[in-house]
Order: sequence, then C-alpha cells, then structure tokens
Amino acid sequence: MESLTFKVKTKSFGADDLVQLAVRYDGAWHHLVLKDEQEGRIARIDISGEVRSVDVAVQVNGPAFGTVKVTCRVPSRSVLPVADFTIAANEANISKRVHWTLQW
Amino acid sequence: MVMARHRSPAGRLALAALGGFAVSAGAVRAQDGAVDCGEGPCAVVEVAPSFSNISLKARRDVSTPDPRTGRTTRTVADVVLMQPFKETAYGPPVTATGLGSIRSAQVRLTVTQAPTFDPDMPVENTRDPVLSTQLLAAVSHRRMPLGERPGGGRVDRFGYALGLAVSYRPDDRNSVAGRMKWGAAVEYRRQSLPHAIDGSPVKVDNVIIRGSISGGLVRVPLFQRGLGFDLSGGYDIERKVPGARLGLATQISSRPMIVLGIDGWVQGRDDDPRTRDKRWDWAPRLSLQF
Repeated sequence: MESLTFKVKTKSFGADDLVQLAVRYDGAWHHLVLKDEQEGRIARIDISGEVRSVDVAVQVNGPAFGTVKVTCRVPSRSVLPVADFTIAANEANISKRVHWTLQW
Repeated sequence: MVMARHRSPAGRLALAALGGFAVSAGAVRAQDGAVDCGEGPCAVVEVAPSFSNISLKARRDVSTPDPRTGRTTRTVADVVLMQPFKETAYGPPVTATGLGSIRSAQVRLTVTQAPTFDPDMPVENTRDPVLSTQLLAAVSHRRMPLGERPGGGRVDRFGYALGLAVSYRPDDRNSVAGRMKWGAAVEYRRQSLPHAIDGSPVKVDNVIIRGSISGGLVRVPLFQRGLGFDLSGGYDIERKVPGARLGLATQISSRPMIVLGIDGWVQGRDDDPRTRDKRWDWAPRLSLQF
C-alpha cells in the first residue's frame, strides 16, 4: 500500500466554509476526511502500490476573498500542486471545483 | 439603574452588538475574513480611524463526509483573544462579538453541514445549501471610570456574552438570493458596569437579536476583484434601540491578504447621553492578514 497525503491551505476562510476533496482510483470516487493537524488541514488515503495515477476533485463552498491551495505528496515523495485559486467577492458563496490528474 | 446605564458604554456596546455577532455567524463575509485565517493560530491586524485591534486565534478543524447521510460536516473550535490598541468611545461594529474595543477572550464552536459533492456532476448543477450553527461564549474586560466624581480613578469591570447564530446559503443559484448568505443571531449579554455615583458594580443585561445578508456585487476594474457587501440589522431589546450597518469591501491582494472597504452604521433614537448625538457614523476598513 502507498499513501497519498493532501494538504489544504486556506486564507480568509470562515468556520462555515467548506473544502471537500475526492480521489478517484480503480474507477470509484473516494471522499476524504480533512483533519486539522499541526501542519494544516490534511487528508490521507491509502492506495494500491500498483496505482500510478489518480483523479482529484476539490470543491469549495467559498467565501468572498478566499484563497485555496491544495497540494499532494505522492508515493514518490514529490509534492504536486492540485489546486490554487482565489474566490473574489462577486463569486461569494458559490461552489468552485477543480479536477486534476496526479501522476507519479 | 438608569444612572448606571447613562454612565455605561451602552451605546457603543449596542452598536457593536447590532452588527458584530453576525460576523461570527459567518454572515458578514468580508469582516469574517478579517478575523478568520483558515487553519492554525494566526494574527490579524485591523486598522481604521475609530478602532484598532489585534486578534489572535487558535483553531481545531475537522471535516468528515458521512456516506450514510450523504453530508459533510465541518466542526471548528476557535479560541480568539482580542487586544485593542486604544479605547474608543464609538467604534463601528467590526469584530466578531462587537467586543472589539474591549479586551476579550472568546470560544466559538461552529458546526457546518452541506451535501457531500458528486465529482461527476457539473458544478453548475450542484445543489449545496450550507447550514451553519455557531455557539459563542465570550468574556470581556474594560477599565472604566469609577463613578462621576472627578479624580475618582478607574476600575476593572468584566462581562460575558452567550450567543447562538445560524447562517444559511440557499441552493437556488438562479435567483439573486442564491449567491448570498443569510444569517440570524441572538445574543445575551451580562455586564458589570460601575454605578454612576459611587462606582459600585451594577449588573446590566442585554438581549440582542440580529439578521444579516452578505454577498458579492460587482467586479472592481482596477483590482479585478469583486466588491462584497454585508448588511445587518438588529434590535437591542433591553435598550429598545434598532440599528443597522452596511459594509463594502474588496480584496486588493492575496498574499498578503489586504482588504479595503468602508463600514457605516445607523441606529435609532436612544436616551443614553453618550450616544444620543451619535445616530450614524462610518469608517474606512483596512485588514491585513499574514
């Protein structure tokens, strides 16, 4: 088994704003638990060592003035960017989603 | 009792309260952003002519999708310490509990629920109403004049507040309201204030109810950012004073996060001599977040 570790860094996020992560491998989506850890909000998922690529979806129920940065540490130990965007005020409270394919 | 009220900073507290707790309800997005840093401890500096304070915050934060209910729950516990730079007579309601010009410590517990999203569904078609409930407890401290006698010195006075706030983002994206956040809050406050004559402690109870709406307006060409607004109205039951505040703000930088804006408030007639001439006011807003 290998472990993917996602780290979510947010700025100007209130306690009622949501960041949700899902990872697709072997054809199925898996929603991740995002936990507060010392380094930030982190989600981990264990995958088969044979998997070399996953799809990632990030959804934000965002505020005005919010910034979101998501990175992933893959089994090869390199850190890959997943999402990095700002939500402006006139996009307030809408959902924003990013799909990304990670390969290693 | 009446004398004590006259001597109290009730006007400021009420004005602050009328717009303040909505912030912690998450209903006033732009201001909430000035206090909330995301995850982990942080420091926030807010600057305006009529108020200044520093907030320090520590946060515990967990989001859990539940496959059985199809909902994701985010639970956040915050501990916030606020330290004012200076004492002000009339500050607009700018901080989380309206206690911004008072040294205060707050504990907030926020539970937010939304549907766990379907990654295969186009985002335009998702329906994700977000409901958030917040419990707040705060203690505050002020150094106040000891009665009306000249040279009477100053005395330490304490207060506490308990609050319940709910905010809701509708799921209807096709309506104007679909992009806005609605909030409601009720707050109970008990303060220990010095008696007007002898400075002895007098308990003053307040109940404040509030409603709010916030969202985005137009894109600001210069900064290519949206202009956000937050509007809240409330009623101080104990003092029988209604009030409202409007904030407009735009973010001009992401790193560091810099927000510029303007806040204005208006309140109904009040028999408090410290506030009766102050029916409205405004202040620019500058928030720096690192």
